[in-house]
Amino acid sequence: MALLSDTDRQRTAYAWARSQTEPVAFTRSQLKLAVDATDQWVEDNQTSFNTALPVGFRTNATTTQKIILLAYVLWRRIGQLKTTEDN
Amino acid sequence: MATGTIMLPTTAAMMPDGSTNNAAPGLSRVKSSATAPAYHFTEIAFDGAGSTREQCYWSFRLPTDYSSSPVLKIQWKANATTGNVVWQARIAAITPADADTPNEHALPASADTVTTGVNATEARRLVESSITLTNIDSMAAADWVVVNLYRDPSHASDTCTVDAEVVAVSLEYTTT
Repeated sequence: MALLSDTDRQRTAYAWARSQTEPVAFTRSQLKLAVDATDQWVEDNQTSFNTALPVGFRTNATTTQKIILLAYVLWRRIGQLKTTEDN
Repeated sequence: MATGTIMLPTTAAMMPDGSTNNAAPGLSRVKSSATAPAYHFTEIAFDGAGSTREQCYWSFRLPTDYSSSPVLKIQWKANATTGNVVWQARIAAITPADADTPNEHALPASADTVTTGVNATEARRLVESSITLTNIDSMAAADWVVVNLYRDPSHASDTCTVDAEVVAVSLEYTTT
């Protein structure tokens, strides 16, 4: 999983901005720097994340499956991931 | 001599067709959070992300009492407490029997600009911007005119991350 290009990071910032419903208290350039930092943090910590996974999952799941898992956990934490069981 | 005002309702804004260099802002209905009853209004949301200029237009016959000094008044808000929005506007004008038809006439190459900060106290408080218009194509009373309003989020001074939501626009001028 490679670092995003600057274009991809910029477009990530655009998508983030368009998805917001809460007030924002920072400028566009500050948001871009946050995207840069987040992408770099993911790069720096992906080995740690992988190691934290139980071996049965770690050795059998694809990289994409692992990333989706991480994203799902984070989205569930902020109430963005809904399931049919929630209804 | 007095001040004349032409209301440019958000619902009367003409949106471009979305082709290259003709991106349109979003027009939407907004319901207030007040109760009994909650009033509704329309707003035009100009994108704060990306690098695409979004714009809209109003066309009408300029009143016969128009003399000079057009100023575009824009009332807007943003779901942010930090950042500036750069508004830009210009006017194309056609006098009856001009060689250019309304179907082929061009807007002035340049636009007039104003940079206004969002309200820093609370997101979505109303802000008013004024653009003193000089790129007006020598418009005169009784001309058919087209007002072009746009936001270019790639402008270096436009730092607001989110949509700028326009709720009212009017054109003020000095009468004869």
